[in-house]
Amino acid sequence: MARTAVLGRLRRLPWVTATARDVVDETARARTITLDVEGWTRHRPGQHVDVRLTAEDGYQAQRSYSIASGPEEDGVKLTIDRIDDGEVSPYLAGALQPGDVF
Amino acid sequence: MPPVSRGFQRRRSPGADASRIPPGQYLTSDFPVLSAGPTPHTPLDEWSLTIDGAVDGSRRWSWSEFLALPSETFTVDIHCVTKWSRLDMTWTGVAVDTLLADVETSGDYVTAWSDGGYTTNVPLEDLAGGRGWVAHSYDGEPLEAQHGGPARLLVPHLYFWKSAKWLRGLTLTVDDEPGFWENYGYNNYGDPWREQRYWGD
Repeated sequence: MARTAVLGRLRRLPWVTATARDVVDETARARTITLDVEGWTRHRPGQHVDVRLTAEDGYQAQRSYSIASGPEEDGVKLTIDRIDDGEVSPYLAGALQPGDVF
Repeated sequence: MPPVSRGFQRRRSPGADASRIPPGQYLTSDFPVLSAGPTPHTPLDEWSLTIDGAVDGSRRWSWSEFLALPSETFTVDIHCVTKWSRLDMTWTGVAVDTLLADVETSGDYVTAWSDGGYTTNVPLEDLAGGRGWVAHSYDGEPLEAQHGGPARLLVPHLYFWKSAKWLRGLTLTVDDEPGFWENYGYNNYGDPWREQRYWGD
């Protein structure tokens, strides 16, 4: 019974494009990035986002990040801790510049 | 076609273990800690494990009774829905088969419930047949509270949110009843190899 109710309420989410608007270094290894996300509807406190990066050769990597901004704010903020031997965090908290998309 | 992220490239070699990493996962060698609420610290003399619901009679074990049950030590790969996978993790615990050995049930589903109010649902057949344990040790040491101690469910073939930390009971149910994350959009079953992260996957 409960299963039917949940199935009816929830649907599969499509991937959407995010554009980096702003990057701010918080500490030596943490950076907050502000994103403009296509078709973004307000999130609820506690929700997270899945980030998927695509390399030129088609390779993709996914990570999950907590949302660091409030639902009422303009743009989605993620605060990224840079893991030195990581794959995604050194990019998001390093090479990423305003205007970049993923 | 998704947009190319300027300057992003693969940094991790798939390596020899590539066949053991489900789609969308990456390999880690640390032990990330994620939970839906604060870490409970139930004193062992107040701890018990209960089997109830659609059964011929509920069962309950104190901590010492639980530890006296036959334990198994097993090494498995763990896959978390937040994308990390860790290989060859060695746990010790009591098989769900052992807990259910003399239990008669009309239920096909299990709701695992924990200190702190967390719940998760798993089909009974996924916990039986040597596929589910209640683990009390990791790597030969008592399971730390941040990793779910004193005891957690271990269902390594499903995403790790099914392996409920701080387990206090298994309730057999006739109907499948989505648990905490399942009600918030996580997949009802959670097979990493079919990448069943969310509803609709």
